[in-house]
Amino acid sequence: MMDLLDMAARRADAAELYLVNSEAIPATFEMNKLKHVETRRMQGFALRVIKSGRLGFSSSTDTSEVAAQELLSAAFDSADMGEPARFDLPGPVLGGKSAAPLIYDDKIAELDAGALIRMGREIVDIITEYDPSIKCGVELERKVEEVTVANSNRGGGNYRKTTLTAMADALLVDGNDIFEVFGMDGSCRSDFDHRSVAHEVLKRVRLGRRIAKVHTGRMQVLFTHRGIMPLLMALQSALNGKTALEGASPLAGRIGQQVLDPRVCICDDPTVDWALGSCPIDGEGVQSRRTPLIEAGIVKGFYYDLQTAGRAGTSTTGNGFRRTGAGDYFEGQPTPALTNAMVAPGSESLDDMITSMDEGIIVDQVMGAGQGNILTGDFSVNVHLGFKVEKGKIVGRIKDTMVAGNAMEALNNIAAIGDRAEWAFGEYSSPAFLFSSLGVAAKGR
Amino acid sequence: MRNLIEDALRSHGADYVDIRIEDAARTKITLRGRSTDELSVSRSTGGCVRALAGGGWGFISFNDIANLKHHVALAVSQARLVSQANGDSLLAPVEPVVDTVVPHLVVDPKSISLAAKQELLQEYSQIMLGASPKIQTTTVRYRDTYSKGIFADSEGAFIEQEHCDVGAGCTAIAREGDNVQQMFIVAGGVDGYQSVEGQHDRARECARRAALNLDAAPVKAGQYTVVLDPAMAGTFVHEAFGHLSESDFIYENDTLRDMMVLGRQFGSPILGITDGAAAPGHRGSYRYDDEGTPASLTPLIREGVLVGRLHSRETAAKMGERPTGNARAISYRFRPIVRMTNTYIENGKTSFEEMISDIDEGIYAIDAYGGTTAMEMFTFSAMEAFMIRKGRIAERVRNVVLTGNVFETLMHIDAVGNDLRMNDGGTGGCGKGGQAPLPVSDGSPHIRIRNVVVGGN
Repeated sequence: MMDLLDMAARRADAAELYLVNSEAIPATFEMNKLKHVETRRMQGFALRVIKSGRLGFSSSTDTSEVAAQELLSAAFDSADMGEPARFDLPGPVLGGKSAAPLIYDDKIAELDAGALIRMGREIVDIITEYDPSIKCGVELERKVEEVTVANSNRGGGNYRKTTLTAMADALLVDGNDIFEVFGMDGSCRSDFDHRSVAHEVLKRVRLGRRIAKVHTGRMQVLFTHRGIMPLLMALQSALNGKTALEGASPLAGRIGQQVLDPRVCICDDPTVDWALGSCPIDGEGVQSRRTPLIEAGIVKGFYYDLQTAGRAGTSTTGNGFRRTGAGDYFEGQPTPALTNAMVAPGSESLDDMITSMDEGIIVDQVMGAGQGNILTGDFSVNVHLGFKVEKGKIVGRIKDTMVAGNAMEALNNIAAIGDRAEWAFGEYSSPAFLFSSLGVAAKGR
Repeated sequence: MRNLIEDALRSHGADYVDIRIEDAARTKITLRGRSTDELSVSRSTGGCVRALAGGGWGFISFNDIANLKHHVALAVSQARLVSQANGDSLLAPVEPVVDTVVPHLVVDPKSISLAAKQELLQEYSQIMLGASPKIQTTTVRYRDTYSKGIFADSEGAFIEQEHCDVGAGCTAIAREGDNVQQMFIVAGGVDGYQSVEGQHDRARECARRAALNLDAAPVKAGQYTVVLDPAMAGTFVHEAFGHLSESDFIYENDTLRDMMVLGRQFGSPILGITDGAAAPGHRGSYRYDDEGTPASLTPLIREGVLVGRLHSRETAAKMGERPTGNARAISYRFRPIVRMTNTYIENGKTSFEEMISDIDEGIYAIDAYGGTTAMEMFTFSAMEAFMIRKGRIAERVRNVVLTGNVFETLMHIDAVGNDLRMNDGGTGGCGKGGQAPLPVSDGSPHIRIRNVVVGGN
């Protein structure tokens, strides 16, 4: 494969080769029963060239000589029409081994299908022991991935990563009422306790047995670390260097300005040991680092890949990733993407926040995040799992309810921030947020 | 290749084995503003083996096709692991087919140079940027995929299918201060490159509408009578009902089977809903699904009554019904699951004018941003919307997001138009079980729904 890089480099100003190899083993339970065991193996590589100052790109799964030649000419063909490259490929990473986060655990790599089946069975047992009428879907997956980035400036790097993830959903059907609770967690390390996913699901099943009534109007709304996702998606879009460069972000040109409540701090941190989004280098071979985005409500910066940073006249933040398609993390060109988004905790306990609510709702799972006008920060989502709070107590689960608002406005009018940040969907870590007045729409008079 | 596959299908020791091999070439071009954000050509070659042994399923996907026999052995050993714990999977019979399918392309996208494709997108981009001084930026996307697939199974099926999907999308982003509004149009099809040409007028109109939306007031939260245009109604039928008709949700859950029992009244007698890949010429059209079952047209609702559902061979066997040819995988990396194809509401009799004439206060919702569903609950959002006041289209409103519960909402459809339109094209698709985007289309005439919850401030 490295021959290909040499061949490309001889004909181009610069060249970069990206290689990925992975093996994922998911074991799936449906309706409390083991249903499938799979092995998904993937290899892929992508070639990026800069020729006469222009960018060309091509990718393939086929490592044969013929396919390599085809890839080479496709990359050069596309460079004829490509955008002018506004960056130099990085040279050797200087940070050394110590800067790299821990992301590989032999014990995960050694897990076989039998072990995953046993773990999945434990999750199903914990949930159905509580209530045998619950139907569970569970997926345990272990993945081993190897990524190599090499370029004609002798830059790049190589890493291996292991992940173990557990997903569970509990389904209760009563007449026309379908009650569904999701849980998901994971780690790069084998001491991750998959049973915690079952307990987290059950905690919420217990709270939701009764249905409570909500009326349309403005009220107090508490978003759990999971429920806050649509607001964080709006920030993720607004802080993307590409959105900012095009002037489509409401935060464009506002570095150093106070835009959110001074209690809001958000950074991207790929260097957290064992976190699912961690990696020592990004998809362009740039060393990973912690990037402050919002500190004390002030915009500290945007996140960038090489080309976007070059166009914006700044430096990459090591956030160039090739995310496109379902698991095909090599077919796309690098674009700015977050790794582990970390929202700093506040000072109130979740119990105190709930106790302080006179009348309002708790939003825990949402449906339709990102389908609104995300650029302005407007959100309007269906509350897939939520609870009614009356006089400081959870009185039941709510149905057919929407909550709407503007993420920037809401995050400027925060009543309280929870004192514990927790991982949600393995993607970000956030505390709970309480807002004193948001628009809620519900079925009924 | 055929020898390799037939050899691997011999002496595997399982009850059933199927093999899919796929070779796909993709071109992607994305313009953001005037600059080319992405331009790439990619090639993906690989395969998968699925095995059923002792009532358990095993599956492996790979890129090294030469080791096919070894992959079959691994899939079978995985299936045996499952069968030790739970061996109750089975397959409904399907006549094994030997066939070759080639697409009929008016203009083969392979015959168009990368430069010509990029030039067409530049035209759309320029038109949108010039449509209004309020246009901040634009995104124009183009994708074409040409795939050659082989499906073979241990029952004797051997199907070679070629498929071509071409899609484009134009997004205009208008801005005034902190107010940012976006709107998009899509084009495309399965019959060639011409399906994305000639979109200049629509692109201009899209940008103009995005700029107009800057002045729209956010909608007030509440319950409204809503009239959906064919694009919104198509998204509605896909999200609100279509996903619930996918039998893998219900086939092993007795309570859900009772809820979805055939003969149950789901809507008023004016409602008819159909899904089928056998409807030719749409994004969800094909001849055989990823289990080698021939495509069909499946009536789901007739006169408001549930009359059918979508099946794979397994869900059909478990429910004692016939496979409908709806087992689909987005690529060789995934096992087929029950999916929609082209889903639409059948024509009714009411004209658009009649539909709005007796609405005192309501909403006319046009073109969908997107939608999602979780069992009986669904939500979807309009790109453009107007208030209806005293039987007339009135002022423009924005942020119109609708939600509902399928059992109530289908009952509340009280008028169905006579102007069925299918919505094809674009670069996205449907997502389910980690598999996205899957090419599908949807369609509907205008419909009117009473008492819809609309979110708002």
